[in-house]
Amino acid sequence: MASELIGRDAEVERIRGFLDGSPVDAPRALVLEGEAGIGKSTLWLEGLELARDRGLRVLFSRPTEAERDLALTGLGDLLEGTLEEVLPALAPPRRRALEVALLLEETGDPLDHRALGIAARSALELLAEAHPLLVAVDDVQWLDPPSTAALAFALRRTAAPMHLLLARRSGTNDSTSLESALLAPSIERLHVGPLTVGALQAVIRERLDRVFPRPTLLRIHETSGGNPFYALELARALPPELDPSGPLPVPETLDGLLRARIDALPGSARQALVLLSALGEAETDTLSKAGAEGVLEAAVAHGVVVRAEERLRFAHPLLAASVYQHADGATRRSAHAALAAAVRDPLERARHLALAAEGPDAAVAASLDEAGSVASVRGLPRVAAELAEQARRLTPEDDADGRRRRTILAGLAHLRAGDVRRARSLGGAAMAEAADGRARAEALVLASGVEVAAGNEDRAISLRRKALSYSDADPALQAAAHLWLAASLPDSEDVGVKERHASASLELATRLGDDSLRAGALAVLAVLRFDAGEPDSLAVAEEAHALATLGRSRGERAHPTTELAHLLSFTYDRLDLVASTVLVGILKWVGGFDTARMLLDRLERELAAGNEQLESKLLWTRCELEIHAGRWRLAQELAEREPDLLGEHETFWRAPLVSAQLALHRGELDRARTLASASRREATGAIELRISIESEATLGLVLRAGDDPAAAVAHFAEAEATAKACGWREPTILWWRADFAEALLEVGRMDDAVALLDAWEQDARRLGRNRILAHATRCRGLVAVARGDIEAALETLKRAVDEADAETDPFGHARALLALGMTQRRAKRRSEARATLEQANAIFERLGAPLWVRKARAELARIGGRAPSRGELTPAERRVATLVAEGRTNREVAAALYLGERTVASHLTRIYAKLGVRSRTELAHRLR
Amino acid sequence: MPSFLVETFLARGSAGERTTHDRRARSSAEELTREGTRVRFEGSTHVPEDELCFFTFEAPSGTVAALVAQRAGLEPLRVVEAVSSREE
Repeated sequence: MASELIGRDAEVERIRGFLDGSPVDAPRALVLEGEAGIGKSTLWLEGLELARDRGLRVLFSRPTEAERDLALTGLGDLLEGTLEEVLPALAPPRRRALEVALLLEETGDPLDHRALGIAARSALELLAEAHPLLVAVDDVQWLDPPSTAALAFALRRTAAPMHLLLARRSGTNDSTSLESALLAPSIERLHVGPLTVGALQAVIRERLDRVFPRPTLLRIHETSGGNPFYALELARALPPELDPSGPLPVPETLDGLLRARIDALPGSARQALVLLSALGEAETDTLSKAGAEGVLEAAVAHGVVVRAEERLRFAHPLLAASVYQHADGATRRSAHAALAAAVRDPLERARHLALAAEGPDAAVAASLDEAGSVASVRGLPRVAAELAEQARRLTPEDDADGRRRRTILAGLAHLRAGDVRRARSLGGAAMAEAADGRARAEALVLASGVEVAAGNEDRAISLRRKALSYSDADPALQAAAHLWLAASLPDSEDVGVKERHASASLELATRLGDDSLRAGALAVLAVLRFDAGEPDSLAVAEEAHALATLGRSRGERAHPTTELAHLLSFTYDRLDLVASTVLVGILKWVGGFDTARMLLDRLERELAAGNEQLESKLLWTRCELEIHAGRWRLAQELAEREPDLLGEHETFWRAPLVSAQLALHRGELDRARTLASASRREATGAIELRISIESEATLGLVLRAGDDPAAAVAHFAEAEATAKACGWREPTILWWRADFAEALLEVGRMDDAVALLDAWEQDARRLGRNRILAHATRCRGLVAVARGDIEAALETLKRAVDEADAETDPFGHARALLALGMTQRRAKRRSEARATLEQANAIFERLGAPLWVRKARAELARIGGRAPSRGELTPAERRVATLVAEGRTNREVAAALYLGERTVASHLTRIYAKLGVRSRTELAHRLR
Repeated sequence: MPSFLVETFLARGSAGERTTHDRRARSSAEELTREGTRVRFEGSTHVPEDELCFFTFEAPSGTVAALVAQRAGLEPLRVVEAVSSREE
């Protein structure tokens, strides 16, 4: 009988049952829990064999305590032997993330953890599709945090059926992040308890070829608590002749037993064991380089160490822990020093160097600095933070400047690792250590970074302003601080202040020759100048974009002069994104649609793949672009990819407002109002006023469409006042002015409408915004109508029709036609009016704008004095109307009637127009 | 002839096999007796909590008792001489 499984029949049966079950639509886990030495690993190994017997493919990792700080070793273990199959099947960003993580590729780019998580998910799904899969981790409490994070990300999101077999030492966490990633019903727990007296006797007999009289056996059982590892150590230590009535003549603690066992080995072997315990598990090659491989044979012979192919590890983690804990400081340091010379990975080497240092050591601190940079580049912020702290600890006392610098770097590293509390503590230390203005400025910037991470924007702004008050601060730091303030000061701040910061940043960056800071400053300046209605804003944005993309295509990384400036500035990846989105934003408003589309295509292809948040932001940006370009049906399709904008997940701030516009044009006033109101309620942070302006203006449009021009005027006025306070002069971003002017005319405030149009036209003419001029001309025509000068109105409105570009602004063109047709009807030019209104109607129908179709048809119906047409729905329209009135969504109607959703939407457009209704609620009421 | 206690491990899940083990122990003893070594199976005592089952054989030596047990497939852990009150 194999000793490993004596007394574990019930547990083995549980494992068999678990493996025989078929996960259907999600991973299922069995967690073996128990104290150290109780036999979890033995059962876990049996589980692997049972899985292989059942034809499952097994991915496994057995991390040791010493390996816990070695990032991504666990993931590497799990995917060993699968990469040839997995890598070619992954999309490029995911493949790259995995290659970087597993050190298959050298790169200057940091590890993208999100892409790595997605890559891990894709890899597991790929493997699970090909074979039934078991993912097994022994001592999961020691799985390194980056591997745990990547796997947890993958398991949380996958529906691929697979088994997980985890072994966890009890007394560590109640559950690991890996377990938390799974739904509770999909986790089974198996507590591995003590062996019985009989089972222990059988185990001892099998392993040591010894049996004991019952009294002694009972003593062994009692002392060990039925723990087989402990019992074997006891049994091993007991002499052949034993008085069964006396006490056990051996150390009765497990620690004592292990020490005695280790002490029995030759001195050279004991020394080498310290080395192995510092590694956890090692290749014989590494041990040879450290001078330890040959002398470990004695430990192998005594069963303290086991050999598996070219690797050596302790027979049990408790042995490793005992060896390391009981080694004195000098022995441990000597072991770490030998390992530092033997290991290849720079992060591992740095760790051993730090542990080998007896006290402050400038050379070691410098090595740790370098290793910290490597960790940062690899996207391992927690490792970088630990190395930075070690470097700080080992800085010689007479190097105050070095210590101060390392305090800042350690604080920065902790900030990146998400440990705000530790970063704040180091920020305080940095302030205390700051001797002069330059040092103080850096400490203030670190403290401000902490406040940003903690969500205290106002405090962060105050601290950075204070940092800038130190004129002897590092120029790159000043440039970056100016840049951050220019971009982050709230909309309520005077635009001149923001522009001065941006200009100061640009000047310093140009003087320093720092292209990354320069590109960032230009991008921020472009936005500020565009909002202020400056004519050079597009050129500035194009320059920022060219500088940023040139740096990226050359493979350069931003090289700020100080690490702290890095806290504030951008890597080229992010800078490329910022500069591109700024340019897209401006092009969208000024009509550069094709160029904007190309930029969005590139951003989606190169930067967004696998990044859900960025993909969402770009989706909504594209949606808004297509609304501006008059491709409303396409915009609607894009918006339908993310329907749940009022749910709990965070979304791009413009999304509800864009969706409100689409709802408005469809005639869904209630939904449009709800979205705009929600957006206004949640407006916070630096862009609070911007959101407020857009929300108020959108609400104004909704109210005007609902035939409440007075209320609409109030909301438009609110938007107008806030925009003025923010210094907005760019006519295209004041897009509501046409409707504002029309609403003012409707409530009899002609002078106000004219004054509004005067200002709008002046800026539009100055900046060459022809689309705005066409809208303004239309409004001028309506002013003439209000004055009673119909001939002048007709002439102006004809001009408005000509000025509106039918191709790029079909909506503006159709509105001009509608206004002209209405005026022609008033002038009793019926046939001209009919032709004009039918033209308008056709465009509105093509756009998919039921609200405007209704207006056009209402006007057409008035020609000849008839009321708007009603009833006479076709049979198909009647079926659609009935289901919609019952409360079904377009999707449900489409499914019920075997139609496409777009067909349903088209039917609804016609139904609304024929019945003269504006919403589903009205339709339901009408059909009752 | 002396008696010997043969200690074996009987896992909880296998407790139902005790009757079978008894039968095999008896059968093995009878077989060895037919071969010329007199052995008698006296009975078994099962201690479920300890997962132990003790088989008692009357045999000329502990070695013979162990042999009988092995031939019965009982995998003896320990064999010791036993004195019972019945004998006295």
